Amino acid sequence: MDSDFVKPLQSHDMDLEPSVQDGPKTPSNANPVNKQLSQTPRLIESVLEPPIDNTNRNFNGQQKNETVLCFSRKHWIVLLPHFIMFVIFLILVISFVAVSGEVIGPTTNPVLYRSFALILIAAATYYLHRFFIRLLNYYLQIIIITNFRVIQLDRTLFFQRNMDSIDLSQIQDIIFERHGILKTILNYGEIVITLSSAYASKTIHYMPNPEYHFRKINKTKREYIIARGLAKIPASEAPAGREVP
Amino acid sequence: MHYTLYMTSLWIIFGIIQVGSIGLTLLSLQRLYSYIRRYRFSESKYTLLFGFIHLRWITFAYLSIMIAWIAVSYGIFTII
Repeated sequence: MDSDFVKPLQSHDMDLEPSVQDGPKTPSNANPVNKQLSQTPRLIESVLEPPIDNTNRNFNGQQKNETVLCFSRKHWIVLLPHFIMFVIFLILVISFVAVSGEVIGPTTNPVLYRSFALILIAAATYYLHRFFIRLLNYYLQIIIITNFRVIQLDRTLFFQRNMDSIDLSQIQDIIFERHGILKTILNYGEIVITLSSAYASKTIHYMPNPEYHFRKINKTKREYIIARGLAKIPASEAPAGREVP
Repeated sequence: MHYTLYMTSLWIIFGIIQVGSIGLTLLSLQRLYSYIRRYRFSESKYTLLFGFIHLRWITFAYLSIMIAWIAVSYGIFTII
């Protein structure tokens, strides 16, 4: 999948919002600040003058003028070992059911057989649940890029609930890494975000299409910094840097 | 006497495993849906597993396979 062919993931992408420079000259865009704004991308304008209230629109904690630009899950390669094990499991179960009728004769002790079968059933039931819960957990681990921050939701159904939010202004440097044949062919890699704060860096592993996300974060960060400088958004309005609910 | 008691115990354990299994399935699905209700994104081929597998397909498969597994394990348990 070539990154150049990746389209915006959200139908309400900010690039689609109407711009103030499209309309006739009004007192509002005659203002020097708005004149300066008219030369900036539409994204910035929509940050400063949000057309709609986005509070909690896509996720809880979303700011009023925060828009989700794209979101992603990890690459499917993380599930490949589990799929292989599941196929082996299915083969074993089918073989056992097919063969056991012939191997186990009428002379076999029923108590011994049922004890053994019960252990196998318990183990197989545990494995089935583990496989499916892992599969469902895959859908819960999301990376969201908004016009304010990068959010990594890392939670599982039962035992883990982490939410890491990185304000775009805190990002000092972004690196994307894709080493190896498999990563190049399947188009996944790591995105390393170096922060200006005490948290030195943050690595997002198994990121699909890392080049696209790298460019997206870079572009959004640039525009966010310009917009914040123009609007002088107070720090109190900016989202928290790191959050573990 | 011991034989009957032992077999009854095995059946009780078998029942507990299956009831627990269905309970865990329902609990997992309930937690999953309570979670995804809080995160409302429009999915696309770039976000779905392998580009086409929807979450509801997996939940349906999970529920179906766990119900089918009860029948299969009952067959294995009573094959003799």
